[in-house]
Amino acid sequence: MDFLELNAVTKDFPSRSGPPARVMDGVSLAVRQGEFMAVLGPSGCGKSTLLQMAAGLLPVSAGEVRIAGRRISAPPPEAVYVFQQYTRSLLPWRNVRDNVGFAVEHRLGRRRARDVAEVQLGQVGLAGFGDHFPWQLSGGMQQRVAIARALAAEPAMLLMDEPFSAVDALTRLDLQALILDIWTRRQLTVLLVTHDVEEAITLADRIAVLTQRPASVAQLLEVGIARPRDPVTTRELPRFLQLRHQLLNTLLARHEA
Amino acid sequence: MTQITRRAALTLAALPLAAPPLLGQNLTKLRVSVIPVLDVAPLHAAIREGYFAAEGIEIDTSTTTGGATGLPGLIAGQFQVTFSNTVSILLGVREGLDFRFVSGASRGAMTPPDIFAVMAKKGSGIRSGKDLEGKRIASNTRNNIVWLRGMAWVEKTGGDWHRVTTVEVPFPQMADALAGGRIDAAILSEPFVAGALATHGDTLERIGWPISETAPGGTNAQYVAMKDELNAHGEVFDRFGRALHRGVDWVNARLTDPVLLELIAGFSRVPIERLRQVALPAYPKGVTPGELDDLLVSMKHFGMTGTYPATSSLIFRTAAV
Amino acid sequence: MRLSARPSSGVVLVACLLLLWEVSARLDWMHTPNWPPLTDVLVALAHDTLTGELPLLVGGTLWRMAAGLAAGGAAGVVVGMLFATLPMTARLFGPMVELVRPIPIPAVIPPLVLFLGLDNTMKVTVVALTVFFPVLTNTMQGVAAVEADTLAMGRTFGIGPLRRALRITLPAVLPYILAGFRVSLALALVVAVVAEMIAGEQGIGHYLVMMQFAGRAPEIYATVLVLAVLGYGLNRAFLVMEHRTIHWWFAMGRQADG
Repeated sequence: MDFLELNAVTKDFPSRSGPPARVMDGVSLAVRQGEFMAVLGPSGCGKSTLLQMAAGLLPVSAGEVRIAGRRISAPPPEAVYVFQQYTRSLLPWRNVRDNVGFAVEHRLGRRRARDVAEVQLGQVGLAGFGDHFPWQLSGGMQQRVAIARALAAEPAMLLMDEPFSAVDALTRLDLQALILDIWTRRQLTVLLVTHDVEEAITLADRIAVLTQRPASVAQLLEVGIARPRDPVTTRELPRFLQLRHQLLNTLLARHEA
Repeated sequence: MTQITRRAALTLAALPLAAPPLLGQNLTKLRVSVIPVLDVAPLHAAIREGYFAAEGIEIDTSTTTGGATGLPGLIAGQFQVTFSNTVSILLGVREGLDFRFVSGASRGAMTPPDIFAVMAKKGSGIRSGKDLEGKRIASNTRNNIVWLRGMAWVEKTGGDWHRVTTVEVPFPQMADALAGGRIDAAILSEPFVAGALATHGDTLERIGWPISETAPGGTNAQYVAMKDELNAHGEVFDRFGRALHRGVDWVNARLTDPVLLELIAGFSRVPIERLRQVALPAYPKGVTPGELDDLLVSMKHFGMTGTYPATSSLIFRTAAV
Repeated sequence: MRLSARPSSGVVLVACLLLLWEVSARLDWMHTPNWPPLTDVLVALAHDTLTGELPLLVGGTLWRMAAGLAAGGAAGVVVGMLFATLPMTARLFGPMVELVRPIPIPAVIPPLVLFLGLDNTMKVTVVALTVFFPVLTNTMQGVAAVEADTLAMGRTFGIGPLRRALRITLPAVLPYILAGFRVSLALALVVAVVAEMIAGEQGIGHYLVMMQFAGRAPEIYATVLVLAVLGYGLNRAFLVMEHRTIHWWFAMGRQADG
């Protein structure tokens, strides 16, 4: 069953002079319930735009977005967006606990939100860091806070916009392992936007490759590597290398074109 | 001690005179714009001695340092009565503003010492208006009574007032400006004359008496109200005038009595030792068409031309005494 | 900005200047009685403080200043948020604000006297006007600087517009608002005193004028001293308050002085 459906989604942005600029042209994509899908594309192709429309944060110009069968026009309760820039999405005037609690305190009240936050912080390995402020933590820890906050809302789906692009390579492997673990344990549906081919192969069930602007889906690949996957050993598998070769060629060719 | 008992006796004596229904209930509040100068001593005397309270009036004084807000505030209804120099009042009347005189306040003396003095630096060689041609004389404001009397003095002492440059300098800064050579002469009013002589007596001197040398006993300042207010609440102003004029009597009976200087020191904050050197004005109750007409002649002569209404029409009954 | 109160070369300089003041006045270098020795000024200050006159006047001035700060600041924040969130209002009222803003506040006091009288209403309004514009522009600048991602974060969790404004935008803009207040603080004191000097018998401004007319130089300089200390103290107190309120902002090494 498809949990997220993008049906012929088109997006135009108004331009100062002349006709509106089309950044996305008839993209159709379906993410199955419990599936981990990655979206790859050259930078500036509109990957984030796609994700924001899927999250109901940005209206579509034509076509439709459905989540759990419902057509959406505003952020749905089932899906939570995880931002690339944790420094912008975390609130520096709140400590870590209240940042995580922020996701639910408008529904549960501040006290219960704090309890929820403590539990979620434990889930991402940040137990005991509740009293710290975000700017006192490393980049990787801050992104863990952002993930804990997303999980606090108990979503069925995570929409992740290059969530590991701002941290160093080792931390990235760490966070990839964390997100795989969470995805498995919570049986989440994930749509992950990334420009990192290896990350997409390591994490996803299927990979959608977008074209240059105006973006459309160029390729849809089945990864076909058995789970559970280890971020280190998975990268040594022949299937991994073959997929990497194929995807990089596609992206580079499109890049040069 | 004797003063206190005497004052108490006066206050007690005043009580039976007060209109009984007015006492202690619904005092009519009048806001009066004043300048912290010697001229308003009768008003403060009347407040302190309870003359206004006896007439059922509560006076709220608002002190401003010049005509800057006094007359405009009267027009705007911020004040019911404003103390102002006669020139500024008549200039307002010329512009169609309905000021009416409700009481006299001060006049110059017939003989020196005046309440104004022209001062210059010792050894500067400036003795007359003739000497001031091409030079700078300070006045607190242009086109007010101080400036007019100063220009009249310049002319009277042989100078062409057109050839004397007026610089606007606030009274408190005049002595320093003069001693510092930034101006050649200044027209000061009391208590600044006494102040300048006390602090700069070694460098500054008095070279002229602008009132008694040009218009002995000339008018200086009055209390005015708006015509509409007077028409609507004439009775309140009758009470105001009665109380104020009892204050005038109180002051005039004590012109050589230290209690008057204590009163002035109290409201003006001028040190009492300086007040002992000060020349006091005459404190009239009324305003006469004659004194206003004399002033108008002088105003027109010194450039404040235009059409003025008959001065007798400007005097409310409380000032026609 | 260091808040520790260690004696610095700046303190020494102030002490030297005060000493120079005393000596120059005692030896009459300026040849004027309007330059009284510091000790005379301090005696006058002590006298009028002990009689309770000065504390009462200073209290009145501070009260008017605080009321003006609160009123003008609140208006600046509300209008600034409105301008920034509803571009229509900015297009409608923006030009008017730009036209009124450069007028020196003391210049609007005489017309304000005509409309608002001589009492607290006028004086508080004058202070409020002084505070309004810096807070308004800083608020607008602050709202413009709120990251789109931060607001989108609120939306993705299903947080409504009002709660987003109060829990995301307002705290994020607070450093800018406080900077606006800090800029206006010294000006607010000056303007409150100027308004008191022009009319009415209120506050330290009126005291200053009275003493000027009475030729009491020590009292005049006592007032100047009081104003200097007040200005310094207010700024210091505000800095401490600001560092407590938005510690995170300073911890992140940000600046919002516009």
